[in-house]
Amino acid sequence: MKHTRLVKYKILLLGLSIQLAFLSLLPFIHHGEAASLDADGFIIEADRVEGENMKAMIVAGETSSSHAKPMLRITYDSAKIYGMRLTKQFQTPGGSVSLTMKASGPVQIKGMQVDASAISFKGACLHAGKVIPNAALEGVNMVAHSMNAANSSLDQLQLQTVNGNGGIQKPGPLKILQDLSSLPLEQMKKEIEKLTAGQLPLTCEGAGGEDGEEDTAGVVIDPAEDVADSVTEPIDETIGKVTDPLEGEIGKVTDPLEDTIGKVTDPLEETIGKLTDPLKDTIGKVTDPLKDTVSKVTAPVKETVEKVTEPVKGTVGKVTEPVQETAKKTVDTAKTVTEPVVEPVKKTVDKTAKTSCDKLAIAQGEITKELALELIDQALEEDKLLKELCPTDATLTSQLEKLTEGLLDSLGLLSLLGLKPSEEEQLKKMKQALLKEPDGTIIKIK
Amino acid sequence: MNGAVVMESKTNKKVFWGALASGLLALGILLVSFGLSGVAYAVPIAGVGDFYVEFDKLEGEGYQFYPKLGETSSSDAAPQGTNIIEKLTIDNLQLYKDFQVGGEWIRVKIQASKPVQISGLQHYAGLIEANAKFQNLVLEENNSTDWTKQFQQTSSTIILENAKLKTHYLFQETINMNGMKLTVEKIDKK
Repeated sequence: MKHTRLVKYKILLLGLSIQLAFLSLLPFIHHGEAASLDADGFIIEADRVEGENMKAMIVAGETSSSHAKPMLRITYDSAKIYGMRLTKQFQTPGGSVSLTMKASGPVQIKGMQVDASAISFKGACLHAGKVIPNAALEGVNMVAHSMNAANSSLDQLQLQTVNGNGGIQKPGPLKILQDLSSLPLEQMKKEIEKLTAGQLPLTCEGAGGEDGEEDTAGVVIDPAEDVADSVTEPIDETIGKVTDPLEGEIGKVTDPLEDTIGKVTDPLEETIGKLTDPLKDTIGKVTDPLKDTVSKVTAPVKETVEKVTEPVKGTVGKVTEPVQETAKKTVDTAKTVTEPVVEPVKKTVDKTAKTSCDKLAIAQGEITKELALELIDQALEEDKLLKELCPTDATLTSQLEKLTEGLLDSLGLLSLLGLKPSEEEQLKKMKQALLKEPDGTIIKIK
Repeated sequence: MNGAVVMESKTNKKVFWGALASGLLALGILLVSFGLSGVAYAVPIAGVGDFYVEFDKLEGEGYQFYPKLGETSSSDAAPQGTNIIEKLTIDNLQLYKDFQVGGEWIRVKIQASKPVQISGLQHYAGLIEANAKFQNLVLEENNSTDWTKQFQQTSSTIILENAKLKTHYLFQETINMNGMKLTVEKIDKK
């Protein structure tokens, strides 16, 4: 009995230790699976990438399965990406899961840096450490491992996490990166330095020879120089062709211009004479909205308006001269009409730069229709009585009080006081009555 | 076996509507209390399955995104994205969920007419649609055996405009929601 019991214990112990041994193997099995599934990197696809100051170089960076992997680093000062799709595949215990980021609108990025282990595109030839001022790549597909952007704007972005692998095909790895990754870390770093120093091509077809790294370098530099020569020659010719016809054109273009200037100035002089009469009316009308705006705007704008009014004054001066000349030639009655009109116009232009209280002070009791309207508008806007508009100045307040009385009296509204309409209604009625008066009318104050 | 009774299950309408009404009332009271006090602390919105969050504009600081597997109303383990934003303001926020009740669709909607301020937001979404702007955006891979830590997206600021988010879970450390309105309406859904 004792013997069989001992055997049973031994078998149990053996069984348990075998199980334990297998359990300790599990992490390795899991690791092997993960590596074979190749979920490394996120795939960036784009229909077209336009960028400024594009630069490519080789670095060693971290991925989801390795700490130092040789990668192609691409930097842009700014880039515009059309049709961008970003997919990251994950292997989870419950199967594969993928994260997709799709931007239907253009993506604008400033200060971008992407590290990629595989890339395919059309439209440019990348050299290590060489800047391409204006690069346009098409059909871009890359396996990226990190991406930074100082500023990015993604229009119509759609970010989704779904089951499955997202149906994305990865581009083949770059041969140069594959070669580098087979090297020990120290040697890899040296080779990377060598590549960057020599500005060697990274992605061009035919760049990857089957021989050693140094041989490849020699083979590649020569065609690059040839290409450079062949490119510069036709450019020289083209420049010559472009400038020759231009010289002729310049002569032809300036002649008709001079004629035109002569023709343009003549009718202008005539027009100025005709223009002055309607201008008088317009200036009166224009100042009304201006006054409203000025009261709303802040100090710095006021300064600007003051600066602006000076040239306006100048212009008004010039404009009024021919008017005065014309007026002298006409009969005396006409003279009496034009003079009072021109003067208030000048005054109003000056006044637009200041608050209505300042204007009231300048007017020295001579309150024009426009100023009165402005004051009423301000009172309506601030929900105040007319006499409350300039509370800091006693003389102005008394003037405003008189103005209210005068307005009500002269406009025949005094009878309404018996009915005691609201202050707002009074102001509105004053405004209506004032609007019927001719422009530039001075309101009598008792 | 002729005497076997065929069991037919039937929803007791009285019990159903009673339960729904009392549930909505409780939810209403809870939300109105948020509305009165203005600020609510540690607010999770979960257990109702997926719902939609829509807004005109979100401005946030300290954004972080990583993938995860989580429970939804139709699956125990559906892939989702975790969005974490430290501090944010949302204009014109709307949260809604559609229920099918006896062949008709009902939409329970929470709206905030004033900007909503949230801190410590944790948000699980299956789908995000928006015009997005980021500052200092970083997408990176990390060497980890935990798949949820292998990929990370971060940015110092995030701005989303005209957004629609299919949401599975929402948690806020504090939320300041003024001008809130809860509506239940019948909708046409095909």
